[in-house]
Amino acid sequence: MSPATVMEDKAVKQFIKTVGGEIAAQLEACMRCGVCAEACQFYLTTGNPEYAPVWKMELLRRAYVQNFTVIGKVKTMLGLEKPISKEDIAHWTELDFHACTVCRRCSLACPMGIDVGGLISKVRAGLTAAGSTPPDLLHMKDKQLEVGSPNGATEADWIAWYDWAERERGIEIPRDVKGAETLVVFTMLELGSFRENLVYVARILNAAGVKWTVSPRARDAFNMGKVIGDKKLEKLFAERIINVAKELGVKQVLITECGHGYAALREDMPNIYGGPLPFEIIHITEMMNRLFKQGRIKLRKGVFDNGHRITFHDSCKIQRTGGLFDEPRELLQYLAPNSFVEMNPNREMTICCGGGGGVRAIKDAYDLRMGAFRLKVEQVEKAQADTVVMTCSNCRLQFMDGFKHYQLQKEAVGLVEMVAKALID
Amino acid sequence: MNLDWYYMARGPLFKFAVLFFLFGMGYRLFMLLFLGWKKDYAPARGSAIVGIVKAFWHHAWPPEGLREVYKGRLLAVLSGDIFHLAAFTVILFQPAHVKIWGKILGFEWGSLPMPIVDIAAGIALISLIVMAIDHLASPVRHLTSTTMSWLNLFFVFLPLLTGWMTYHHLWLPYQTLLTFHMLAVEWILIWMPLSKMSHFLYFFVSNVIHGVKFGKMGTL
Ligand code: SF4
Ligand code: SF4
Repeated sequence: MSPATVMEDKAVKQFIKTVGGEIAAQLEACMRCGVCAEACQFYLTTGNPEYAPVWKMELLRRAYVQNFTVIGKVKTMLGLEKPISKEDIAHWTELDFHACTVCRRCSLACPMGIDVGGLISKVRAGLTAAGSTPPDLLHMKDKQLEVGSPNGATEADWIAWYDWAERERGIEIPRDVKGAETLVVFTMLELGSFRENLVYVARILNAAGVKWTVSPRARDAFNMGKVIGDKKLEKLFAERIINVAKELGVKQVLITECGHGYAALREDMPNIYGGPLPFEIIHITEMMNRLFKQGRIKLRKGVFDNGHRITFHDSCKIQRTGGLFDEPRELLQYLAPNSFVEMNPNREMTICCGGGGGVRAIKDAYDLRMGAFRLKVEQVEKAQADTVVMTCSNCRLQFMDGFKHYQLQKEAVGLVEMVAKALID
Repeated sequence: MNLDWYYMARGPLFKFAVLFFLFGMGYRLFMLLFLGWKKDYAPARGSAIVGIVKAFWHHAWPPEGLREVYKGRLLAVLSGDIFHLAAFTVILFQPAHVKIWGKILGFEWGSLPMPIVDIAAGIALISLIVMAIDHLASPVRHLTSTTMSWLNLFFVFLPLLTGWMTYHHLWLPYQTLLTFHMLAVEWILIWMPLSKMSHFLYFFVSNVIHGVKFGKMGTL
């Protein structure tokens, strides 16, 4: 078998492995109407029909039809169905990795109820199984495997961040505390760019009297296995956190401003294990809201009502598919009741920032993601907002890149920062 | 047309087509179950039932964000929705059809006056023509179209056209048209389990899956 054949074979095998009743029902339901295209920021900003979500899942559809349906098998025998080729794999790698953030907006737009974005992540898994993952993502995956973080941050780097907070900000960062209630897990994306977040989270948890800890071993919240569609790796990376949480006996694993890590642990891991995790996975957004409602943290009402208009960006993994819509809004309405305005569309129909799903890490996808961000710029400008608040560091970095690219004097802020700054000590 | 064909179409062929349809769709449903279903162990934030209700409700009454999306493919969405409404009006409420349903199911319901059914058939035919235009005009639809999608459109067009012609006694003798109409319907019953036209079944399955998944996530 030539290497090329092996490659296609691996992709098809992965697709076949993926197909169960749930996926078959969705593929059968697709009418190829193209409505989903109108939900996708990459199609909307380029007009390229190949960026339509339905087309991005084409390889999975073909593998399904050719291997699972009577008509498909007959057509394949007669040469009427096109088998998946090496060229297809290369082509769809560009479509599904460069031009898709797996934001699942299309999933909510499909009239047949198909989770198109979810199916695209299955195509990503097939492409990865065939060895066709964008090199930039492979590099990050290798780094996470070797040193723990996709950007190459080592245990020493993480410890240096903790030490910096203690030394420069005078706040204790408890480490590997057995019997702590909550294990706090950050991502290198967050600490690498917004290391003050470490201080903000610490201040909020201390103010609420939470018994918390970090662990330099429980890293990174970001999960490259999930990004590239490699379940084994996703499990391996997630277990670096899960095992520490079990060892420390915590009741809760708190994921800070990272959407991917939150979804990997909360949504994927129970399904990979085939059962619930022995502790709660909670996002910082929900945690802050909970502590506020329980009266465990006190905030200064209207502290951000300072003449600027503030809006909120719903992230795909935390809001759209994480369901945390009201939690950040309740906090913002308290902190900035007169300045907070909504962008439209919002909540589950939010438009993706264009940088998720690993797209921000692919250098060749820069023009695409900046093009996609244009939709976000239009939304922010329509809302006449100067500040955009969000709960995901990857979104925040994309907003910062985007504002710079479009030369806009606007700010992208994390909700953690706002809450920490509004604390009444 | 030969009288034998007329009786064939009314009797054995119709029975065969109905049985083929039932077995075909049954087989496809069985295959779905046979492929295996994974349990979702992720902790629920919302309700699966609410999700299912919303998944279907959003088709009837799309929320604002979804309306924006639909606007971009208005031709496809409207022609699809209107076609289904009009076609089902004809299938379920044309007086002769009601009688056939009565024979199959053992009970009947009220039919609609023929002029109304006639208008519905006209609307369904026009919607199909709009769908065909959309296949050519929309770049995405053009990309995703296959010979099968064109065949589907054509095979749905035939019973509607022949039915409409029969009612209006156009061009050919009544009995010949009726025979053509019945043969076209029978062909569709056979074609349905073999093609994308079976989507009506998966529409329900897929939207229930959608509702459960996104309901539990707290999205819907
Ligand atoms: S909107 Fe749904 S049914 Fe239509 S092409 Fe996209 S995935 Fe298929
Ligand atoms: S998941 Fe998001 S980026 Fe990917 S195809 Fe769907 S709408 Fe586009």
